[in-house]
Amino acid sequence: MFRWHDGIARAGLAIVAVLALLAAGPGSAEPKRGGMLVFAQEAPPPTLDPNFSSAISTRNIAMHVFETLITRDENNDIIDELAESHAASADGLTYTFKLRQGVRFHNGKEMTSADVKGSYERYKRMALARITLDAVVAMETPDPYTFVLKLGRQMPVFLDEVSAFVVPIAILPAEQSGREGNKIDLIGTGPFQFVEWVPDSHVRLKRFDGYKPDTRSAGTNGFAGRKQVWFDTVDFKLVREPGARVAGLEAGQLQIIEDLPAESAKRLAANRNIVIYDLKNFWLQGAWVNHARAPTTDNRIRRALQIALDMEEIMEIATDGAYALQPGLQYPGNPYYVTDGGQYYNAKDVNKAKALLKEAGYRGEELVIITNSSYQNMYKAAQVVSEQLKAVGFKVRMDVFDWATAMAKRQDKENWNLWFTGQGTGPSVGPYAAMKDVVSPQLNQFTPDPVLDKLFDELISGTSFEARKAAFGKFQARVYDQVLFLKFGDLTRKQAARANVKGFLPYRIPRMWNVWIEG
Amino acid sequence: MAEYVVRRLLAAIPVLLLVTLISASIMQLVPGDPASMIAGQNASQIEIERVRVELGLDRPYGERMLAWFAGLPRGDLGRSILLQRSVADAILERVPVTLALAGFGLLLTIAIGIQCGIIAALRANTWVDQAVLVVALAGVSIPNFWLSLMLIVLFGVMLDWLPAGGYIPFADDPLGWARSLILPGISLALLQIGLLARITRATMLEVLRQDYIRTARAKGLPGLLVIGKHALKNVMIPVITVIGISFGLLLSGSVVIETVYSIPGMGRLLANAVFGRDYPLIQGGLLVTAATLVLLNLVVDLLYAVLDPRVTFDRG
Amino acid sequence: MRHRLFATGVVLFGIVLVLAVFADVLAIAPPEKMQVRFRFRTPEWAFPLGTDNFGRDIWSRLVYGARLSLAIGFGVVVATGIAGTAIGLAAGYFRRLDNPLMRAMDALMAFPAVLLAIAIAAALGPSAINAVIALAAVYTPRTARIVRATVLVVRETEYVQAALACGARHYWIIRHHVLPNSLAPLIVQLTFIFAYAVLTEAILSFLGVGPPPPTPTWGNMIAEGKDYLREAPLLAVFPGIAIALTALGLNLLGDGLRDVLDPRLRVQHG
Repeated sequence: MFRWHDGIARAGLAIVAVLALLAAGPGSAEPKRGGMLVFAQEAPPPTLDPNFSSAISTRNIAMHVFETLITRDENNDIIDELAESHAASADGLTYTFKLRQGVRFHNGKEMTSADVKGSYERYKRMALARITLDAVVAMETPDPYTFVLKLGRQMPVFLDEVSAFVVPIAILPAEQSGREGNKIDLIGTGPFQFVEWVPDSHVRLKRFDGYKPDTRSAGTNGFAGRKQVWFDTVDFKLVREPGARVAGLEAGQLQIIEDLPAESAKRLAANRNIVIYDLKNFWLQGAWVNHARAPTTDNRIRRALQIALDMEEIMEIATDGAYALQPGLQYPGNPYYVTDGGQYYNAKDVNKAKALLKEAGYRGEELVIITNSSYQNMYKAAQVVSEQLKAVGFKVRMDVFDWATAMAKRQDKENWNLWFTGQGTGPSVGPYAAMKDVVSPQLNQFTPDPVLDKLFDELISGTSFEARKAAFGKFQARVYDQVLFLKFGDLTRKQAARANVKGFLPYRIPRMWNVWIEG
Repeated sequence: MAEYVVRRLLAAIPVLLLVTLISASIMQLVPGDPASMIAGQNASQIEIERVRVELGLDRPYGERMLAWFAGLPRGDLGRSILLQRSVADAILERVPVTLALAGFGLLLTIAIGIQCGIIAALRANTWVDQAVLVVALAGVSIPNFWLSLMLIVLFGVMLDWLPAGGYIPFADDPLGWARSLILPGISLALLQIGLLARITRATMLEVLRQDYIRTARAKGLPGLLVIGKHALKNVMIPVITVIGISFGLLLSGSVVIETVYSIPGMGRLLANAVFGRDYPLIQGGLLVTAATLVLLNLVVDLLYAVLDPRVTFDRG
Repeated sequence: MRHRLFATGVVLFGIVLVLAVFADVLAIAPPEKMQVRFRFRTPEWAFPLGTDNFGRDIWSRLVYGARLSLAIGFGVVVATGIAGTAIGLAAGYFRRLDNPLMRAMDALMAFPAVLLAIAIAAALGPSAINAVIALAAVYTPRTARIVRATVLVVRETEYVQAALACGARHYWIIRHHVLPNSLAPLIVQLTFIFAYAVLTEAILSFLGVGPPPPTPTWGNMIAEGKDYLREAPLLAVFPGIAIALTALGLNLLGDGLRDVLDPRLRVQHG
């Protein structure tokens, strides 16, 4: 469902295609070793410990320093990284990873199964997403290049979860296994090594000369593949203000920037020195619905607000035109993409909504919207939703907090009816991460739904892909039917680079390997 | 005088303790904690709780505060939750940046503010005087964060004369350092220039009315010499007061200016600490800021004594 | 000449006051009304100052913003006036209270004003009333100091000493001698605080801890406009000018009042 303003987006894609050809095809300039690149990111990393945060700002940097056993490739399929190979036993209870040999940490030591075991132990003990390894009952290292995980129960989606990069299972030297969260030395096996972190200013990485490229791929492939670093150093510079990022890029002080405002992109489209990259499906823009606080305890009232919304207006204003409209809780092209429940999406049926409110006996109970001032598109979306809901007769109160307060307010069911968010990496790595927030134990809506819990269980324990996908279809239908999540649309995020930056391929997390500056 | 200094410093201790207590109590009332910042945007409640436990934020508030206060006598301000270093280190890193910015602002303030004030006084009740007064008032009235945005767009983006933001350390590139301070320095100084110009004018007018100046002028001494030798010295006292106040205002103003210009100084450090709920950093940072202000006031008072022998320190 | 400046101040403030009082009449559309088809309009007949990124009429938001800015500024003046007078009187008049009260005021003044306001506003939650409380907390110490200083002078005067000797009650002395003498410097100071409050409230809104939308505040308008500075600068330009003119009007007014009410203060404040 692409729209007229996507013309720029298509132009951007065309440029990407041309660039890729240039990078790969004969006659292109040879990559040059040396120099420095400055990447501007919008948020400061709250920590650089990759096991301790799911923040994008952390992964932007950490994914260059650390690597994992298995990860996702350019198409989001599972791919070996530090693993030479991986295999599951027939009973699904034993997973064996053969490790690549000759891989070195930045401290010069070779990575062995002891390091992998230490890292997995740390992850299972303290990581944010340690639940991923909940089923693991034993870890074994039969030899220096073999690592075995024993599961206590079958978990068909185990490898999907282990390879997901929401909170990557980074491999650290074994001696750091006992470290608490946030207290590791930044030593990994990645193609870049850590130099310095000046908070509020930048993180500097340099090329790791002892890096042994993975020759199984020809080039960049997701977070894996053959990684060659051309730059001497890369700075991840914190530039919060979008305008300052754009100005720095135009002036040539910044080579690549993330989160280019859509309005600026329209202006920069004509600038020959700058290339714009579209990251489609960056996140699902939406809002959680609380089922435990009036008036959204009544499904008729929830339905009324669901069908009253005009998603085009919401997304147009929230993203300045950088979006796509579709009902799925996965992105088109994902293996699990389904459209179940779509009849309730973007219905714009004001009259029906009013009728439902009347039928439910809505008497002007205050509908509380919580949004935040830290993410502009959530802030804007909330304002539009608020006006649309007022138009059908809701009495709306909007509370705007900074992010930390908004998160704290979410915990108490008395505080809100709609809570604005963007679901980013979760949906991109699979359906479980996308919707785990509406089942126990997170339960954003506060009221357990046995039907939903059962469907979620089918989703993660289904033994075939078809069975899991069918379960997800029913799950998504249930989410729409009970109005657990109001999905507005898919946000397109824009990155931009100077035109002389070659080899850069847009991805959810920027990758600075196989990138060089021409001339 | 030494006794006076000691007495003033002792009197400052309860004030500083109050500052710390107030800041700690206010921050406890602010909902949210650093765990949600670390865990990331889509973290679940359980995941945030993990981080909380790992950071020791689940320990009772009183216990954490006691531990923090216990470190104070050793000069230990605690450890920043979000910056991976001790609070003292984090502050020491930022102080030079803010000092550079505030110093630059002060330089502009003194250079322009005193000049304008003197000119206005010498041309009292003419259009020059009036113009200076209006400009000075405008300086006090224009919101400096808004002015900053306008300056960035005009000089940083459209004309591309100066950096649109960011800070370049002096050691990296002295010229770049100076250029990176121009716009923020102007934005910061505008308010102070207005204040200083007005007080200089008022004081100058009083001084010019004094008999000895009139006599000197009547004797035909050149005007500039009179101003230079006699008047300026008298003007210095109120001017130093204003500079003392200004420096405090500059520190406060730097919170906004550093945020808008992306300058990694004390102001932004503290603002980010508040938004990130980095409790030890907030308490330590505010304690240091308050102590600086107290010291500054003391220095200002001592300067009075140097400039004006009539001032004594009999009264507490 | 000074009268002319004072008159300018009266006129400027008067204009803003009229905008604020008659916002309902002067606005051509409800300030929160969004029209997605009319986003980023430059000024034209239907939209005198253009529209913003939501397609809302900037002029209408500006006049409603005036109402809120003045209401908050006035709220701060009243709150600061009452709290500052009470604390200043108590500290100046009752010697035993002097030290603890003034040390507490010193502590409040030792905070960078903006940070203190941000922290209090964040602690209380975003609303117009909480913004008033946060700003009042920031500006009360200044008022208290001025009142205390006046009280110290007045209580040493012969007539007060005489009244005390005759057994006059504290309330009577405060009412008839102390308060009237404190009034002039207080009014002048409060005018300036009005200006500061308008400016600082804009900072709070700009940083996202002021009154929440859809309430149109000038600070919110600048914050929303700052992402479009290059493409649609008018979004941020108009509210900035409005703030500057309001503060200028108040400052001119304060200057003029000072000349009329209390010429002695001229030097102290410049």
